[in-house]
Amino acid sequence: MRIEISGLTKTYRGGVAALDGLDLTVPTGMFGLLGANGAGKTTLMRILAGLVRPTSGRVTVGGHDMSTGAGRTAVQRGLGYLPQDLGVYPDLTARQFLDYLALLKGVDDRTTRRRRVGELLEVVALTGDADRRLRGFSGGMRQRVGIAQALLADPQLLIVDEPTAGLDPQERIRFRTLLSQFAGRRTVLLSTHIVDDIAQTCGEVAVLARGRLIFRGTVDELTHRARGRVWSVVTDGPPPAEGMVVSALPHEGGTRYRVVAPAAPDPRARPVEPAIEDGYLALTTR
Amino acid sequence: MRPLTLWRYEARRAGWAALLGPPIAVALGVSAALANPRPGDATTARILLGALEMAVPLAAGVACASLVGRDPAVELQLAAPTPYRVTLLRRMVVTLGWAAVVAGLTAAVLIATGWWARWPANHGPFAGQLTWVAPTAGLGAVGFAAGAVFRGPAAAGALVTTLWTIQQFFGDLAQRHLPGRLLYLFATTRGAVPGDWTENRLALLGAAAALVALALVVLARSERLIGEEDE
Ligand SMILES: Nc1ncnc2c1ncn2[C@@H]1O[C@H](COP(=O)(O)OP(=O)(O)OP(=O)(O)O)[C@@H](O)[C@H]1O
Ligand SMILES: [Mg+2]
Repeated sequence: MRIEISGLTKTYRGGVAALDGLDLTVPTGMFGLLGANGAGKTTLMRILAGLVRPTSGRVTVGGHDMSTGAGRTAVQRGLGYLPQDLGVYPDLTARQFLDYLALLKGVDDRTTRRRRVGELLEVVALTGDADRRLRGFSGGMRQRVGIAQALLADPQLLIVDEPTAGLDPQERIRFRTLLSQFAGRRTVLLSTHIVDDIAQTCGEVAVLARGRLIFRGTVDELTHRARGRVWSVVTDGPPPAEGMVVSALPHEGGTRYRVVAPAAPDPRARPVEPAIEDGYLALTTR
Repeated sequence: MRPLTLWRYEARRAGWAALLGPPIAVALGVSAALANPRPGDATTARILLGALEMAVPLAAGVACASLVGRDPAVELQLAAPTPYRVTLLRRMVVTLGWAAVVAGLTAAVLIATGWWARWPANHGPFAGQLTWVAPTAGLGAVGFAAGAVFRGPAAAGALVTTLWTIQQFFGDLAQRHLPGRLLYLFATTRGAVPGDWTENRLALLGAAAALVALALVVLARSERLIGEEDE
């Protein structure tokens, strides 16, 4: 499913322009969305999921026009959505919750529903807790229930808003691998603050800042943005004043700082190979 | 027709207020009848019918008022192909349906035991059921629509309760002009101008239908439900 966005603007009450004339095309496969807090990622995802209407601009998902009710319903039939703030019904068990959501997604056949729910509980490693009420679930377990519900109706488009927040490292890696396996000929739109998750899964990535697109390209291209801008400097004095300190590690004779800055922040600084996070930082801190 | 299981889930979502409200309302009415200090056939019968015409509708109205605005999974609901307003409507149907079961059974018992007939203005065992049907639908629809407009149970519940109280205490005022008479909730037990009763009951049902339609229109703007509105 291909997503085409042109001139998309969303202005909230109070005049906050969460999206400001955004043009973006999302192809099939895994696509990453990066951006600072408040950049407009959630707003974009809510528009694509049919929850929020744009103020202006045109959005089509798999050829369906999101400004019409029929278009939104058609998209929602093949949609899996994991919101940033996942709310669940605490009185239901994980199995009941998934069963209910499968019904809302139109899976009326009981046997199909049972099988699908069972499979997904297995996928998110919750089979053992399937018949416990969600009230007693930890944040990460709840998030896994959210992931399972997003996959319920075998979606053609999967929109996941910070899905790995609150997961332990094993689960996080398991989940992002699951996502890329799932992607295939489908479209997965992943927003996150964990830049590494995108590096490990997404071919392409877009970076938003204040509702505008400031980068769109491959992960390598994003990394290249930091070429010649990442420095390593060892000092026992104060950290370099220029640029953004990415890491500070104890080192013999002081501290080793990794710094993203347009020019050498210190005479002793030497350039180092950039990573994707450096590319993101080079792009967003000017 | 969607599977029964879906309706069962929606019944759970309607909540405890919807489940316990109507039986408690009837129980309070029966206790009030038992505690009546001046027992007499007509006054006791009036209290019993009043439980159906006043207490059950109030319980149903408050329960319907709590349907919109307290759904923790509202974002998942809005992203699902089943329209959320249809889901909310299902919850309202379940809520009012249960109130109807409780009120209908109570009415059957009152008819069987002869108490129904002891209130002179009872309008018979069949049409007389409008005694509770009309105000229950009316207040239920007020609660549902107010919930949709205010996006929260507190304000909606307060509106239902206020409306009910005003009609309780200023019933005579409400009866002075035709619109007030037509929308008076308690026409069976608190009296209606003779000849007005049927029109009053039908007007209440019509108003209920209009309010539900209004609520569905308001609920179509899904972003209001996640606390977002454009300028
Ligand atoms: N309901 C709302 N009413 C008014 N402004 C809003 C609303 N929701 C979001 N905004 C504003 O829109 C902008 C974009 O918000 P959005 O939630 O889309 O950002 P985000 O990129 O998802 O941020 P985060 O990384 O923190 O999740 C912010 O300035 C935010 O304050
Ligand atoms: Mg967000």
